[in-house]
Amino acid sequence: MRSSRKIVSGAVLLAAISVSGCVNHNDVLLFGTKTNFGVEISATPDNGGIPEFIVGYKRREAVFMPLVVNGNDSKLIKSNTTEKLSDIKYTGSTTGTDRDAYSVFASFGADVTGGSDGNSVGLAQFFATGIAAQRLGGNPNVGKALSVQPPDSEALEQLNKLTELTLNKDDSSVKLQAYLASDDANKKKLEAEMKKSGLATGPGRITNLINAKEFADFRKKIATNLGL
Amino acid sequence: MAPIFNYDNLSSEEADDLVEQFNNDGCTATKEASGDKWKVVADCPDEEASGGDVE
Repeated sequence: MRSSRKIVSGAVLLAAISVSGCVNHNDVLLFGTKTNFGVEISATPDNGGIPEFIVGYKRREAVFMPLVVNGNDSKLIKSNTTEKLSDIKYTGSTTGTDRDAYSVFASFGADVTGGSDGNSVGLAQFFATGIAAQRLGGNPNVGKALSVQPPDSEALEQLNKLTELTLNKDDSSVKLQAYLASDDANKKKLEAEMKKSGLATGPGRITNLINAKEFADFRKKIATNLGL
Repeated sequence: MAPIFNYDNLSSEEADDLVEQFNNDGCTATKEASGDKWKVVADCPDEEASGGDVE
């Protein structure tokens, strides 16, 4: 962690210098990252011995990308121009005529889930330049994989908007009803589980979760998460 | 807009149970005849308008 912090600091410093003046820089791309990740699991008597699961996640990223070739030791791989080095910019190009300043493709993401049926942490990060960036950017499957919203978010939104519902109680319905009746505090715990699953909360929502056929999968999952 | 939930094709006992649950869940629910069955209409206020707990 200490070394990455130095890289971040150095990258920020170099970027500041390049913006503020015409100081020569190294023609080296710098990429720095620092990640702090912590998990706390506790069971306090004040909370009835119910385990609490807390996840902390903090991340910093920094990149310094030279755009102009003006380093002291800059060399062109293939010198067929009479231009001065300081007039030449790093560019990206495709086989056609498209050109850009620099081809970059990056993603920084995390997916953390927790529950009685298991906990998982997924950290996804990559940073690509040049041809690799062009190929990644042109791949539609990569774009889908990096979708900001989870794939089932649209279906979840539709489910939350349903008003015409079908009664179909099952074993999970009975368990959740008994859970609610056993302690007034359980309503908040149930609503917390609903929010974690992306379900709307508020008046009538718990009744729908317990009774509606459309919510059968969710109430089974939530009943399991509550240890029922 | 406050949602109005509808359940149709219910037995009388199912409708009574559902009305009780909705009323305990902060809604105003009614049991109505629907052919030879029953339906339940529950008028549930928005969460913001229901004066829920502030944390």
